[in-house]
Amino acid sequence: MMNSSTCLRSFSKLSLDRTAHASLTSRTLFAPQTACFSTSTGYRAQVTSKAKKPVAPRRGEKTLNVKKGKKAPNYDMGKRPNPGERKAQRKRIVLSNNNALAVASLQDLSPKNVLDPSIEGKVMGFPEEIVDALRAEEAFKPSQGWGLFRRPAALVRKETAQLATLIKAVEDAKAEKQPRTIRRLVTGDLMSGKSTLLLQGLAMAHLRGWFVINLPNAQEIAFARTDYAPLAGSDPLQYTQDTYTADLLRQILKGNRAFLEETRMVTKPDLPFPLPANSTLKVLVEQGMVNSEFSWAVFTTLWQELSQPGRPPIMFALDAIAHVMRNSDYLSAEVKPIHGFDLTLIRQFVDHLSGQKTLANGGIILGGTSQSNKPATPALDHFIKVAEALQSDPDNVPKWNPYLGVDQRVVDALQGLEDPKQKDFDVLRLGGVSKPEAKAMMEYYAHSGMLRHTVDDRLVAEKWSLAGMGNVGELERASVRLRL
Amino acid sequence: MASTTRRLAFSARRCSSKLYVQTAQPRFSPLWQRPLSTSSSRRADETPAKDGITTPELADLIDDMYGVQEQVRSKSGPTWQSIDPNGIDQAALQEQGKDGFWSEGEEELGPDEDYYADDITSDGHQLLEQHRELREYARMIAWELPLLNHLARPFEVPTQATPFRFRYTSYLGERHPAVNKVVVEFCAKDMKLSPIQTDKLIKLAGVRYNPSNDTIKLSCEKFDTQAQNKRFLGETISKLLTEAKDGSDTFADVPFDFRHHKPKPVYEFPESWILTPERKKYLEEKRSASVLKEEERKFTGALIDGNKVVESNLPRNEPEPVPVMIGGRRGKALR
Repeated sequence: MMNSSTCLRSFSKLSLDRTAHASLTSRTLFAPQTACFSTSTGYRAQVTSKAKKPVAPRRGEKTLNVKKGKKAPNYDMGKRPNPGERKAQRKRIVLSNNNALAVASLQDLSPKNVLDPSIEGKVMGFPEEIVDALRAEEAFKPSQGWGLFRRPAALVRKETAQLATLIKAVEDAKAEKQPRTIRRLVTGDLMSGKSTLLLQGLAMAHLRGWFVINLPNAQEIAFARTDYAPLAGSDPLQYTQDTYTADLLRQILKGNRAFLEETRMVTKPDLPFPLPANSTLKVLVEQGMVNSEFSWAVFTTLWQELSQPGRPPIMFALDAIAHVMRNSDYLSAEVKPIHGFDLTLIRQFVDHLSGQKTLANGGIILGGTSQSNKPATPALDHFIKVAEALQSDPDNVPKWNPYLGVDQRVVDALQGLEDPKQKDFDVLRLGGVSKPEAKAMMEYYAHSGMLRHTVDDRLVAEKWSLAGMGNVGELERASVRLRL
Repeated sequence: MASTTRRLAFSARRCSSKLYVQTAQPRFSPLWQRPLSTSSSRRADETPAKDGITTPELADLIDDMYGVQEQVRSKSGPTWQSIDPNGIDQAALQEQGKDGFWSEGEEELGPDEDYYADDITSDGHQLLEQHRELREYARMIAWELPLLNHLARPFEVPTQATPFRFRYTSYLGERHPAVNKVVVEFCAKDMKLSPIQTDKLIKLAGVRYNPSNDTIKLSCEKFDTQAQNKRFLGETISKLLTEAKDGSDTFADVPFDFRHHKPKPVYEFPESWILTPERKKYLEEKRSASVLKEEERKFTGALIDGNKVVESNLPRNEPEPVPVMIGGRRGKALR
């Protein structure tokens, strides 16, 4: 046994011991280049500046400031909002303003008057149960001015009346046992009321007892914030979004509660969960809501049920459609982008929009475009332009620019817009409102106490011109939001 | 290390072999004086037109100009014809002013130039010279420029034989980097090609094609002289045409690419907006009807005033009853 000092010395010179490096080549054995083991370098090492660095005061902590002329940082000492609070504030839907006056002369939409052409050009209120349904379906958007008035109401403009005639046409066709599926893309300038028209379409469908499915924003489906999974047995491979679909089923249940409660299943679907025989559709939907892994199976079963004879027509709407007319943000197992059309919900919508599938009991497929939040989709833009030109100036239809990237799947889906014979597939172009319509709106504003002017022709003409020939959003901005 | 002679040679080559001139000569000969044009030779060949200038007329013109000159000269003192050149000692005159200041005090260079303080400064002379120059040009403008009108020729529309429009730029003798630039413009249709060949020519021309007026525009300034640049343009055009006529690849599969061209929007005043008397009358009637309707609505109460709506809906502001003291102040009896 060596004593400790001898032991340490021999350990420190271990690196010089040639026998310890048997694996090294002979050249290094002659001149060992490793240093002897020592702890002194560690002791003598300079203390790093990290330890000496003064610790910065915590935010909001008061410190003695000896620097002249330099103020202490002006921190906002207020409490920070909780996570998600700001977004909740941003996305909050306010549908009532208690400071606004209730308009006594405001009529409500009703199943009777909703398809009546006489209501065109009037501001009509939405009945309370419809407001609840629309709210559940997220048809109201935070950027719209619902929170300025006592309760939701909207102008029945020319295009709304057109949509009403389409609804009437579908109903008439259904009565004649020749179900008709009408497809429309709502287009128009920024703030021209496209989403509001979609909302009015949903409201009218609700009032007429239709089955309403609304996908409020295509971006939420395509931007990869919800879970997705490949759908077994699909070719080409499709992807389900279980959580999103379960949420959609919840919205569907809220929006169409009465119909789902009273209707019983007639098909015997092969579902992965037990379902009591002859149960109502509500039970089926609730199963999909609760168990999100079954949500897509429930949705398809529900769709089959709706396709049975005697069921109501379907109003199927999707807003901000451009987001799915391209590759989504999801990636496949091969790390390739998944096309928007490969998401099952979107596939369901696009198949019906393109006319590949039709609704068994008729209905309307309504796609909304967005001008404020739209990705570049050359194919969609081109087809919209073509369809608009076919309506307004058929001799001057724009040609496809061969130097733009083309998405063939979108072209295949929207091909019908180029065909003037396909009356069921078209665009619904929103322009500015006419002066009488603007007057009706402004009188409603004045009745609500939000416009403190005499609503005469002069004021209407002024605001109508300021709003770029009657752009609805600009009209609201110029007459209600803007205070001079 | 290089040898001394080698180094000398090296340093000698480093400086320019040319003499340094303060005011550098223009790099290019002033070709603007004689633009590369076929028109002058053509003009020389052709016989003068009837209404153009004729030789006897030109002689009259020159006589007129001489007459004017004589008149001008007779008014202003002795003319150059009246001075006898033999009366002046030319050699002495030349000797005197040759070296100026530097010959002063040198006897062999002759007597010094004396200055009697009766002359104006050189700045003054310059100013006078400038004034004379201006007057000279003013005389030219007054007397000679109107005569140029005789040389004017009517514009002739270019024919099918001359489809190329060349553009040369003259900076009136000044130095300019674009003096040698030549631009040619021609219409694709004028090339007498078949539609397929024309399409190919347009595709080959690429961004040099203007779809609005169907012209191809080429320019060249990579050579030092206009003639060289023009030749290059001519060769390029002939190459383009031979390629366009070559039917082995017609480029039918390549779409036209006009992304470089943004057509200028032309806005026309809408015809329906023109204020014709009928339209004025219609508008007057419409406005008066609107005013009448507004008055009617005001009378019937159908005209909505936002202010009145708000005022009528506000809670009625009734004055609150003010409590009246029964007794006097601080518990004393009322006086």
